[in-house]
Amino acid sequence: MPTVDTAAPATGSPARPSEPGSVLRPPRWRRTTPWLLLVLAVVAGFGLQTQLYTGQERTASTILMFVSLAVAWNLIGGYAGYACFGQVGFFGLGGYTTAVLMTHARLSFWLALPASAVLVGVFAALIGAPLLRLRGHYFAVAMLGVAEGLREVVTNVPGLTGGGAGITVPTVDAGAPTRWLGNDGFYVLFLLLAGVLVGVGLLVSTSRAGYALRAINQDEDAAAAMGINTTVAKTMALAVSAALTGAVGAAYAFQQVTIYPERLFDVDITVLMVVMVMLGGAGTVIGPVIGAVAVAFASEWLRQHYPLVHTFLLGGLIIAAVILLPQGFTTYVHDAVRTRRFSPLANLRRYRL
Amino acid sequence: MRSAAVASVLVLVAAGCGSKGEATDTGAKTGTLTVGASLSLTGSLAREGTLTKEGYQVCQDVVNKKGGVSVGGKKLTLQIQYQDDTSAPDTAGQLVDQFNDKGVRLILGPYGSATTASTAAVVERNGQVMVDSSGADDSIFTKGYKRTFAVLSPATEYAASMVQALYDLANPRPKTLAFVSADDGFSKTATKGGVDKAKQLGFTVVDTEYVPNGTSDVSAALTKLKGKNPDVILGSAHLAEGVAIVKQSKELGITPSGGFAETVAPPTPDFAQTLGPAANGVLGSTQWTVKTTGKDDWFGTASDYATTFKAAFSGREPEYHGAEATAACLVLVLGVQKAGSTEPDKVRDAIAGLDEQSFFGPLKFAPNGENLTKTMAVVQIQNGKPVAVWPKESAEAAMTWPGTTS
Repeated sequence: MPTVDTAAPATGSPARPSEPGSVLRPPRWRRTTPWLLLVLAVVAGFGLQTQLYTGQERTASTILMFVSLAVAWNLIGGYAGYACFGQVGFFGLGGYTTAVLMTHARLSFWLALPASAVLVGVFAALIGAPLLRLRGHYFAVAMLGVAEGLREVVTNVPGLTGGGAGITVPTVDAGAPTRWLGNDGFYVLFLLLAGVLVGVGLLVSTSRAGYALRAINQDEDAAAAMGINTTVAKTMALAVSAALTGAVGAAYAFQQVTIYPERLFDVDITVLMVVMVMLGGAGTVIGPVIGAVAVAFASEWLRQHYPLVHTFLLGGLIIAAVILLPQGFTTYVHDAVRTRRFSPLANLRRYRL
Repeated sequence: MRSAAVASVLVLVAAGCGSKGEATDTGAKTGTLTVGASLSLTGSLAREGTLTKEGYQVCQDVVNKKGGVSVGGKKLTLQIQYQDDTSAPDTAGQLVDQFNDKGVRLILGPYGSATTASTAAVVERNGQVMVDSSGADDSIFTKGYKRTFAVLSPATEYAASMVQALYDLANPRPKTLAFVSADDGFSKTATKGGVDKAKQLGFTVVDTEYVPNGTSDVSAALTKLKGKNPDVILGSAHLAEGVAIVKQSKELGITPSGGFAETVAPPTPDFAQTLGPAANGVLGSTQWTVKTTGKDDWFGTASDYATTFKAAFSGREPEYHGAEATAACLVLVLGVQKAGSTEPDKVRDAIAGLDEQSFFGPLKFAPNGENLTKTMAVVQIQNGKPVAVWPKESAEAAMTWPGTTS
């Protein structure tokens, strides 16, 4: 397909077209290696668990949660290039759906989590249909508004959500639908969630849908002219990204037990997702994972060692990283290997900063 | 994919090293008593978090200046470790878990009810002990926790104390009250306590309106109240809503014949500064004033404490945030001394059995961990300054009534 030829150079690791018709099918080892590495990483995650104190386990769970969130944001923000600044809205909606289902309907957490994901996905598809007609800054602002609006709605239906006083998921009393999983349990839950999300990222990256999204990112009008149904592709990307974010929100709500609208719809969470993806490498599979681990780890380390100025230091680090690696770590490594020029200064010149 | 390989190798390496084991507190050997405090040093509660930190700091300075905490014939230097929870409850819980990993089992509470609720659950699970300095929401103490103790009066007392003050001191005594409450857990609990008290004392509560937490527009709620003509409007709210209630009532032409009473906003200096003359006559409730009765060996009386505080912070007057933090730290020190040990279980039992007087008032805990023997104080803004008017034995001035005429 001609569309693929225009889209391929934009990808993190384009397959070299060796023979006609083989563009979409790179050699077998290139298709299986990422999956093997993913399985290895999850196994390593279980290995890591045996070495952690319970407190560290909780911190590691948070890092894994941000890995999942960054990977989910990457689907719409990285591949399709639609900077979604309202992603935390999906996180909060997923969290509150689970909390409400578990509290009022006494539904098991294991049913509430997929239910939340589906509900958030459908919601995103519904608002995506009109909002994805906006591009660039307009889309970013509109989504920001959606998240703020969702928070106001949640705050103003206290009968259902507890309003500003928060809602407490029943986890200990006899009537609790699912017992609290403990630090060990939540580590495993977030590890598996992260594994599944990276798997979805891999699938999207190598599928036709992934190429369609990259084509939209490059030039939406050209993509449409090449025969891609851009509306369907974008809406699907937003819905899948939102559903996955909602699932993570559901797990977070259960882990926290008591949740408040201010935290579940905190715009800081969106900003972190965006920063993690940008630093790691937007539109790649491994980029958001590296970005999330690096930023979450740096933020945690700085907070423990510099309690008074850690936000300032983290901000400085992020600015330095953006200046030195404007295209993200993964893409930088890829470019450097390809051009044999490893100096960050060469990178600066390449991006004319 | 190369980067993927590198990342996986890193994860594997990380999985291989490190060793799991329980850290133990070496305090008794090294001569220090290490206490952990997760505080909101940045984020939306940064101001109150910093005030709380000042209170802990005063306690550490005074205790160490007087030779430290005596445990089993030895004097231990008090050392408080601070971590920043960025005002997020989930982070606060995480930090207390991290303290536990490091062997820090004695915890001083964070600022605010949401962060305290989250840390109390972790403290209970880990078998640590926490003295809460500012988490007033009663819901924290209905969960059956045995290891969290609050020095301050619970949320139910905030509005109830003002209702009692109106009953005792207001002349002519008002007949009808209306409540305007923010919708966060603390404010709602305070409102409930106030409404119950009002009914018990024979007042008529004509209306209770809820406004979003942190809003600066309460006009819809006030318009609903207008037709019901309450003698006193009681606000259960923070600074932003508290200022809005007084200001917008004026704009909407609502003048209750008695006046206004609000929970936590009036005692903060910003309240009178923002409202100017309109603040005069407004009642407020506070955990502590310089007239609070009681004294202890470490800090003396409330006014001695004020002198110490002023000396430490270049002449600034202490607020109740600092005082309640110092009191929480004092409870921990008294508990450790009484137990003669830094073992969390023994300290817990010692604190549970504590019955002491202090610059902060009585320190004695109910089985659920609340300090129910202590009463709150009611202040009134007079000439732009909050002065204590109730209870009568620790009043600085008489209550001006009705509050709206001044």
